[in-house]
Amino acid sequence: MSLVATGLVKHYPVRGSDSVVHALDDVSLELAPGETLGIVGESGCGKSTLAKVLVRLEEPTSGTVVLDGVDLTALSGAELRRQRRRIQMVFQDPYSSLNPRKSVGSALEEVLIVHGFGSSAAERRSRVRELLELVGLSPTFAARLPHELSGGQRQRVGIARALAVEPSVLILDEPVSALDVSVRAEVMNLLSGLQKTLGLSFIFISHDVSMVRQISDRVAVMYLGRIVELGGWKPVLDEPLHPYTEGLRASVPVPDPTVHQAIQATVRGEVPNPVNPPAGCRFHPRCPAAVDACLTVMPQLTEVHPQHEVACHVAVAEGHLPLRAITS
Amino acid sequence: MTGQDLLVVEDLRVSVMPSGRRRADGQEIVHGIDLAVHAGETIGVVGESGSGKSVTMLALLRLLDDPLALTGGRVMFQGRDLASLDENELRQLRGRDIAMVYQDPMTSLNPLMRVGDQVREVMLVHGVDRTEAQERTLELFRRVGIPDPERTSRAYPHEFSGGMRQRIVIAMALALGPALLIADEPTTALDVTIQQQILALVADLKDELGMTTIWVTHDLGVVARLVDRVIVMYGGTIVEDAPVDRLFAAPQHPYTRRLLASLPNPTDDDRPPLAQIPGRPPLPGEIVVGCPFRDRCLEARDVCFTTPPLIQRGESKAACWVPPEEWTS
Ligand SMILES: Nc1ncnc2c1ncn2[C@@H]1O[C@H](COP(=O)(O)OP(=O)(O)OP(=O)(O)O)[C@@H](O)[C@H]1O
Ligand SMILES: Nc1ncnc2c1ncn2[C@@H]1O[C@H](COP(=O)(O)OP(=O)(O)O)[C@@H](O)[C@H]1O
Ligand code: SF4
Ligand SMILES: [Mg+2]
Ligand SMILES: [Mg+2]
Repeated sequence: MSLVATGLVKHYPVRGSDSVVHALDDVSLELAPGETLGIVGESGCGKSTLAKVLVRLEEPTSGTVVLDGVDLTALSGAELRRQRRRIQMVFQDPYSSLNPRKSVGSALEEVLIVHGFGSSAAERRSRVRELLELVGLSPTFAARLPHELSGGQRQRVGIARALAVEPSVLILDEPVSALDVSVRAEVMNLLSGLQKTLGLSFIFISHDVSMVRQISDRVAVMYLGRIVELGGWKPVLDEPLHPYTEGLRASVPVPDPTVHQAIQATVRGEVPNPVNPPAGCRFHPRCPAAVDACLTVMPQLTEVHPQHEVACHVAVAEGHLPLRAITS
Repeated sequence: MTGQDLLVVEDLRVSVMPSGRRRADGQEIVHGIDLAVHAGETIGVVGESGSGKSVTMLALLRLLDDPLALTGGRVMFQGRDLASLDENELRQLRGRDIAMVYQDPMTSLNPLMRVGDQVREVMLVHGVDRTEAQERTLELFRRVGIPDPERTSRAYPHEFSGGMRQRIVIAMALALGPALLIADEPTTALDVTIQQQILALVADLKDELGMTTIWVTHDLGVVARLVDRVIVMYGGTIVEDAPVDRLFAAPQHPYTRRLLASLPNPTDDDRPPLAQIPGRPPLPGEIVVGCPFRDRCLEARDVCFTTPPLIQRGESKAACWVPPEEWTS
């Protein structure tokens, strides 16, 4: 495994009270070399928190992150910085993380200098050209300022910057969510290509089920800080076991008017406050299939089919998606 | 114009005016929109960001702010030319006859005022009496799915989620039973399960009230699920105007076809690479000779250096000189 996260918890304090935001609760996952794990879930379910904890931008409350056999959570200082290089993050809006007055070329060079890549300025400049080519930009882009780039070009620069330090794992947090349909296609294809040529592992985070379906080998579905379903992309997204995954899937409008799509709410109510998550199964207040146990007992991820885990009492007992959760 | 047309837009043009120089020509960003909306129709307006969707909607309501200016065209609503109305009459019209819902509900909500009072206010301003306004407010809250209206109507906007705020704005928009609802990306910022709840609400209201709706979105899935007719915008113009099933089955503009092709097929297990559209749309104000899609178009030929008008082809209209039978790609 290139990345193994175990029992990750992240609680944020709430101002002026003893309670905490349960942003991440007991999340474990594994990522094989060259693999893409898609993470899908709605706003506030903890996707970005997971990303930040994995790259140690945030300190987990508890749990460990092991990268290529090295426990990142046990490191600090220079050693952490050295090891952390191999896991890089790409953000939704690279603009906010680019200095508006710095050219693309000098931003990339700076990353190289900070991490001690390239022994001379000439060497670094040639590496910048290489990086730009890698992400499909001509070397002339080195002279451009961030505001002179389109959304797609900016995201390419964001990817080039992450690749500058030769990582083995990329954490992509909503990398195409701000892009238009046709630009999204370019960036998705670029990512797939880079993965093949560089042998990278991806954690691809998105609220967009169709993009997760397009790129993932395996998929984790998150709800209120927990993984509720985990398995191969096809079983999870096309034959889900968890009522929430089913509701999420059925809520995505299909761009085809000949497909009959009932316009009816598939998941009722709203995501509860993560300061006070519901007892038992966190999904129970919105779940069409809930039974008594769901109100009190927290379901654990359980392997129902080979390599397909679900945290739902009814799905585990019945061995399939609970009948009452099936949408037309 | 037929008796059924609620809204008719002819050759609508918008420019960005250079500051300080009053009489100088601006840069045109919306290049002559023609559109007729029939009573009872749900219309989807799609296009990439910057294609002019929002500016067009603001322009037809005469809501453009500096530096944007209406530089041409005519908007007829219920047979009346909006240019002939004074600011007072326009204010009466907006809210009562035409309601607008924006992507960010806080555009329409006052953060310092109880939400119930805000909905009531809309009615009071338009002459509904107090008791009736109060009753209708609670009824509207119930109708748009806000739980426990007696209590929640006394809360402030920050006490609600984004989805609930958007429901409040929809309640406010419906308060005076408008003939036309214009919604500009009303669900773009919401989660899909909440979007689905709002789409269900709007579909119900349409059946119930026969409301005419213009729904601006960049999501072709929402279009397929919700609307009767689709307007596709590109570079500040309409490039296609077609019934929703025709648009998806037989797009008449090369851009529409390539846009549809760039979407992942949700039932294809092979997951082939997504089709790309190399190039970029014209920048706002960029002078384009002929068809705005020309430099990305695989069908372009000499005639495309002349701007194509919307040409009727079957039930669709497309701004392209080359009919699909002659496409080579
Ligand atoms: N610094 C912080 N302090 C307090 N609470 C936080 C902080 N960062 C995140 N949270 C809370 O933790 C929860 C998870 O947030 P997170 O940003 O991980 O969600 P997300 O799944 O990435 O959502 P989105 O789809 O909106 O990006 C949310 O309830 C959020 O409000
Ligand atoms: N206040 C403004 N000043 C100058 N240009 C503007 C302004 N508002 C919008 N534009 C330009 O008008 C064009 C259309 O914008 P808009 O209607 O918001 O697009 P859409 O809603 O389709 O994303 C864009 O190129 C945008 O940059
Ligand atoms: S008018 Fe010409 S350039 Fe424009 S879309 Fe049609 S074929 Fe392409
Ligand atoms: Mg996030
Ligand atoms: Mg807009």
